[in-house]
Amino acid sequence: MIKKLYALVCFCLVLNTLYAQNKLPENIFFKKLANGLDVLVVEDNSVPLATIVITCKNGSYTETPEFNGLSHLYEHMFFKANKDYPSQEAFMDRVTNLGMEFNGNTTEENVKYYFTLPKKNLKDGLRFMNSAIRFPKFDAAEMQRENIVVDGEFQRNESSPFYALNDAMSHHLWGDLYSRKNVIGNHNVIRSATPAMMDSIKNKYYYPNNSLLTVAGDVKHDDVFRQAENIYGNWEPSPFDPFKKWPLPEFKPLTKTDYFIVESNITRVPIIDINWLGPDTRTDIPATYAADVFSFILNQNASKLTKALTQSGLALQVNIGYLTLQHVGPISLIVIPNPDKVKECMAEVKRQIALFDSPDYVTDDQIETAKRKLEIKQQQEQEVTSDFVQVLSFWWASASVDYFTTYNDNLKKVTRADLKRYVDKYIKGKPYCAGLMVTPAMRASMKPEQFFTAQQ
Amino acid sequence: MKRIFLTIIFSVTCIVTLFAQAPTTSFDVNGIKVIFKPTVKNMVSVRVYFRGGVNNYPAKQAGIERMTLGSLLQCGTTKHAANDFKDIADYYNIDFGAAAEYDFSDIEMSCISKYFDKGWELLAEAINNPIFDPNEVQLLKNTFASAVKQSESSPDNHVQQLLLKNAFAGTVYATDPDGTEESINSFTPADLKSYYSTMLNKNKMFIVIAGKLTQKEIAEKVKAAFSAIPASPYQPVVLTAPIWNDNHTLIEGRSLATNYIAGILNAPVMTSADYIPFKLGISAFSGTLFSVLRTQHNLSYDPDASTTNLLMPYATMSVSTTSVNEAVTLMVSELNRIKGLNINKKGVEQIKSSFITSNYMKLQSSSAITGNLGVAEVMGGWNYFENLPARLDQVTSDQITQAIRKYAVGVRWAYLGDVEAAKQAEEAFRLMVR
Repeated sequence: MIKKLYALVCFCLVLNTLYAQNKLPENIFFKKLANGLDVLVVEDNSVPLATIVITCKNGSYTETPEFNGLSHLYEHMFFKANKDYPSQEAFMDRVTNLGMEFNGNTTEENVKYYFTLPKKNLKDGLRFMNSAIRFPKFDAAEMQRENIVVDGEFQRNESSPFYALNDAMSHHLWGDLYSRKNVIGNHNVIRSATPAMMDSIKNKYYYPNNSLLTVAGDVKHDDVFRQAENIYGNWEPSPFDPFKKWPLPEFKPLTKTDYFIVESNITRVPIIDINWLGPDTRTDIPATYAADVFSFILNQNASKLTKALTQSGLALQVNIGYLTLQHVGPISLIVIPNPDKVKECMAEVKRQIALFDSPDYVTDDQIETAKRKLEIKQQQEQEVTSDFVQVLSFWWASASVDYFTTYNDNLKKVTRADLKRYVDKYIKGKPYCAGLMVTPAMRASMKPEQFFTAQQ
Repeated sequence: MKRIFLTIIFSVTCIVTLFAQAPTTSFDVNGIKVIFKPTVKNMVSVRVYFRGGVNNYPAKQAGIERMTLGSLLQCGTTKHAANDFKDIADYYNIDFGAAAEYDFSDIEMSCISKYFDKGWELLAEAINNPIFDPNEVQLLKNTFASAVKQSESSPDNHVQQLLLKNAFAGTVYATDPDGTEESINSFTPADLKSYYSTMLNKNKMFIVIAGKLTQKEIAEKVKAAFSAIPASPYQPVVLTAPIWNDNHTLIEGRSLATNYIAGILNAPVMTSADYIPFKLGISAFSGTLFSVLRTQHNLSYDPDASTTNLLMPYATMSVSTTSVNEAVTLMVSELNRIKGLNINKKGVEQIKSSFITSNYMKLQSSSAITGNLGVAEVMGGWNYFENLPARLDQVTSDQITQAIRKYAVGVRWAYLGDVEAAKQAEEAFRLMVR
C-alpha cells in the first residue's frame, strides 16, 4: 500500500513539476519533494534577506464548534517549545541569534508561519523552521498561559468598531457552520484548550503532503531545493488525505434575504454590509475570474455604482469585493453612507444591484481597465518579496499554484457574457444578508427598521 | 565576535551595492532639491514633500494641509475635471495619496515603470494647476470628516491621539494634522486655494523618487514640470520637545473588551549621537516587554515599544490588557531594569542583527524607500537613513545604556477603556521611572 502511494506521489511529482514550471515567472521555481512537500522558491536579490514560510492547509474551515479558534491557538504554540528548543525562552533566544523577524497568520483555509532573516542564516533558518513545524511540544502549563494571550488577541478584535457587524454577518451568512468561517474562534474553547487537542490538529493536518515551503529573497533555487531535501526530506507524509478522511461540510445556500441591524457604541459612523454566497475554486473557477473583474469594474471611479453612490453624495465610501476560497467565497458590498442620507443611500444601493446585469451597466473600456488593473496589482504584489510569499501561500491553499500563474491569462478571457452569468448566478435576485451597524442614538433618530428591510 | 559582526555588515553592504540597489543621490533642479534612489524593481514611487507640518497653521485650521493636498488629487485641475483625473489614474492603475504629518506633508504617486510618464504628467498637473472645484471639495470634506470619526473609533488610533494630547499640550503638536470634524467642515475652496499658495514654494519643497530610472530623465522631468514654482525665503522649523520628567495620566472611558494603554517617553532627535543607541535600547526594551508581559506573565497579546522620528521625537510603550495594574507596574519596572542594565557585547550584536533585518525589509518597496528618505530629509538629511547601517555598526553597549538613562525619565500615560480598572491602577500609573 505504501509502495503504491509513493509511486503515485512520484508520478504526480513529475507532472506537477513540468506543468507548474512551464508557466511560472522566470524568478519563481517549484518542486514537489518525494514526501509530498511543495517547495516554491522566489529569487529576488534586491536586499540581502531570505524569507522562509511554511503554509499548512488548516484553518477555521476545519473547525467544528468544539474546536473553533484552535487552528489559531496552534499557530501560537508553534512559537513555543519544541524538541530542539525546550522552552519559549530558548526559542526566542534563537530568534534573536538569527536576526529574525517572525510572525504567523491564520485564515479560513491556511495557517502560515514566516521568518525573515539575513540570507547568510538561511540554512539555520530552515533548520529552525523544521524543528518548530515538525516537533512542537505542547506543554500543558505553557498552553494554559498562551490560551490567555490568544484570548487577549480576541478581545482586541472585539474592540474594533467593525467586529460586531462582521461577527453578526458571519452568523447570518454561514448559519450552523459559523465556526468554519470564524477564524478567531470562541472564548471558552480557547480558554479550555488542552495539549491533546493540539496533538489532534497536528496528527490530522501537519504533514508535508498538506504543506508548502516557500523560500524567497536573495537565494538560489538549486541550493534551496537541495537544502529542503536534506532537512525536510525525512518528514513522514500522512497516509491519508485529511479532507477525505474528515470531509468538510458543504455550506447551504441561503433560503431567504435577511436584513439585520447591529447596535454598537464603538462605531462613530453608520456602516452597511451586504453579502452573497459567491463561487469557489472547487466548483466554479471561471466565475472566480469573473467575480474579480466585476469587482474591479464597480470599484472604478467611472462605474455606475460609484457615480450613483459616492459622486452623488449619498455615500462616503463604497467597495465591492470577492474573496477567492475553496469553500464558498463571500461577495461583500460595503457602504459607508452619508449619515444624513442613509435611507436614500440604501434605496439607491438596491436600485443599483437590480441593474448589475443590465447590458449597459458596464462599458467595454471598464472591462479592459479592470483586467489591466488586476494584472498590475499582481505585479505590485511581487514588489515586496517578504509579503509576496504570503500571497503565494494564499493561492496555493485556496486554489493552486497554477491558478496563480495562469490568473492573468484567464482574466483576459473574461467576456461581458461571463460577467452577466456571474451576476445572475450569484447576485441578481439571489438571497443575501444585509447588515446595518449604528449607535443606539443613530438608531433612535434614523429609525432604520422602517427602511432597512428586504422590501423594495 | 565583534570582528565577525563587522565582517558581516561589510559584506552585506557590498552585496547590496554590487548586485541590487545603487546608492541614493541628491541634486538640484532649478532650485528644487531632488533625492533619487535607483532601484531594480518595476515600481516607481514619487513623493513631493512640503516642510513645516502643523507649524504652518494655527490650531483652528487643523487639517487644512491634508484637505489642501487631498483637493489637488480629488477636486480637478485646469486640464482634467476631477472625475477625468481619477478615471485616467484608474486606467493606468496609478495610485495617488496625500498625507499630513506633524512636521511635513506629502503627495505620493506610485505606479509601474511602464506608466511612469502618465503618472508623472498627472502629478505635475495636480501640483501646478489645481482648481478646487466646489462640489468636489464638499464631497471630500464629507469623506475626510467621516475618516476622522472612523479613526477615533479605532482604539489603537484613539489611544495614540490621547497620548499626544496629554504629552504635547501647549505645543504645536497639540494640533492634529488630520483635523477635526468641525475644522474640516469650515474650510471653503477659497481657503484651500489661498493656503496652497503658501505651500507652493521651492524652498519649502523637495522631491524623492525611487525607481528603475536615470538621474538624467528625472532631472528633465522635474525641470519641465516644476521650474515655474515660486521660490520665497523659508526658514526651517526649529522645535524643542517638552521634557517629561514626571508622570501624568489621561483617562478616557470606553466600553471595550480590553483596555488600551500607552506611555510616552522623551527621545533624541535623528541628528543626535544618541539617536541610534536610543533606538537600539528601545528595540531591546520592546523585546523585554514581549518576553515579560506576554511570555512570562501572559498579560497581553501585543506589548510593544518603539521610537519616532520627529522634530519633537518621542518613544512609546503600549499594551492592551484586562489586567491594568499588573501590566503597568511591570512596564515601569522593566523600563527601570533596562535602565540599570549593562547589555553585554553578545546582546548588542543580537539587537543590531534584528535591527538590520527590519531595516532591509524597509528597502523592499519603492514607496517605503521614498517615505524613509523623505522623513530623514525633513529631520536633518536623507543621508542619515542611507548611512544607518554604518552608524549602527559603531554603537556600543555603554552608549545604549547612557541614552536610555538620559531620555527615559518620566511617562505621560494615556488610557482608553474601563475607568474603574484605571482607577485601581492609579498607583501603578504614578510609579516613577528611575
